[in-house]
Amino acid sequence: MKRGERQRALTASLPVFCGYVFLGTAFGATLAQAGFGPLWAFACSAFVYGGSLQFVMVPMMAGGTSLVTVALTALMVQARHLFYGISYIERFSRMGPVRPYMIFSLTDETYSVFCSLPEGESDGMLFRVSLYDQLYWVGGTMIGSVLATALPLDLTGIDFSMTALFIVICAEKAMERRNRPALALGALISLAMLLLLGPDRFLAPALAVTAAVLTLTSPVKEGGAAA
Amino acid sequence: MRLHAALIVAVCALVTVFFRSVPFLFFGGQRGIPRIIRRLGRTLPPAIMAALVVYCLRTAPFGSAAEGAKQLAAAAAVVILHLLGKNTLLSIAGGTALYMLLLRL
Repeated sequence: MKRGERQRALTASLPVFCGYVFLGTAFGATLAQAGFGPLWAFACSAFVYGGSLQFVMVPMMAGGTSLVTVALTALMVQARHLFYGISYIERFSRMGPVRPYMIFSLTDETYSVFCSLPEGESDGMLFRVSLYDQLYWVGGTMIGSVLATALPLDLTGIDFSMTALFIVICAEKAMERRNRPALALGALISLAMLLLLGPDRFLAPALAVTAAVLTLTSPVKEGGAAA
Repeated sequence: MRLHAALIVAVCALVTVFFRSVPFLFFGGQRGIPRIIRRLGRTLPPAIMAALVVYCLRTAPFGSAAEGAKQLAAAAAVVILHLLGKNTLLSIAGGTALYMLLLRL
C-alpha cells in the first residue's frame, strides 16, 4: 500500500515537478546572479516557498528596499493563498501533527494537484504531494544556485525570467474576459504611480491604491449565485 | 546589507505563513467568508500581477531608449510565444533567452 501511494503521488505531482524544477533553477540562478548564494536560495525556498514572491524578493534584497514596502508587497502577492486554505480547513484539521506543514505548503500548484485527485484520497497522499512539491522546488532552486555560482557563466539578464513569468500569468488571466477589468486597473494605476513617483518609490503606493480601488468599487449587491 | 536581506526573507516568510493560516484562524466552519473577501479573491490576483509586470519593467521609461526597447521587445516576445504555443515554460524560456541575447548585441 505504501509503495503504491508513493508512485501515485509522484505521478500526480509530475506536472508540478517540471514547472518547479525549471522555475526553481531560474530563481536560484537569478538570486545567485544578484549576489546571494546557495544558502540564501535554500532559506527562501524552504521558508517562504512562494514562486512569485521569491522572484520579487531578489531585486528587493539586492537594492535594500524598505521593509514596509517588502511587507506590503508580500501581503499583496500572497493574499490569494488565503482562498486555497478555505476548501481544506476540515481536511487538514483531521491530519494531526502535519497540519501546520499542510497549511504552510499550500501553494497554487499543490492546490491544483489536490483538485485533480479523486475523492476520498488518503491523508498520506495529500501529505506526500505537498512534500514532493516543495522538494522539487527546493531542489530546482539549489541546482540553479549551485550552477550559477560554480560555473563561470555570465547570466546577466536571467532576472528577466521573473518578468516573463508574470507576463505569462497575466496572459493566462487575460484569456478570461472577467479578469480583464482588474488587469487593466492594476496596470493603469501602477503605470500612473510609476510616472508620478519614479521606479524606486512607486510600488507600495501602487499596490495600496489598487487594493483600495478594488475594495471600494466592489458592488454592494452581488447578483446571481447566493452568498 | 546582508542583515537587511535576511530581514527581508524573514518578513516574507512571516507574511506567507500568516496569509496561508488566515482561513484556518478566522474563517473556520459556520462563520463563512464575507462577500467582499470572496470578491477580492477574484479581482485582486489579476490586478496585482499586472502591477508586478509594471514593476518588472519599471526602468524602461527612464533609462536609455535602447535598454527600454530591449525589455519591451522581449516582453512582446513572451506574449506572442504564449498566445501561439500556450506553453508556460516555453514562453518564459524563449522571452528570457531573447532578452539575454539582446543584452549582448
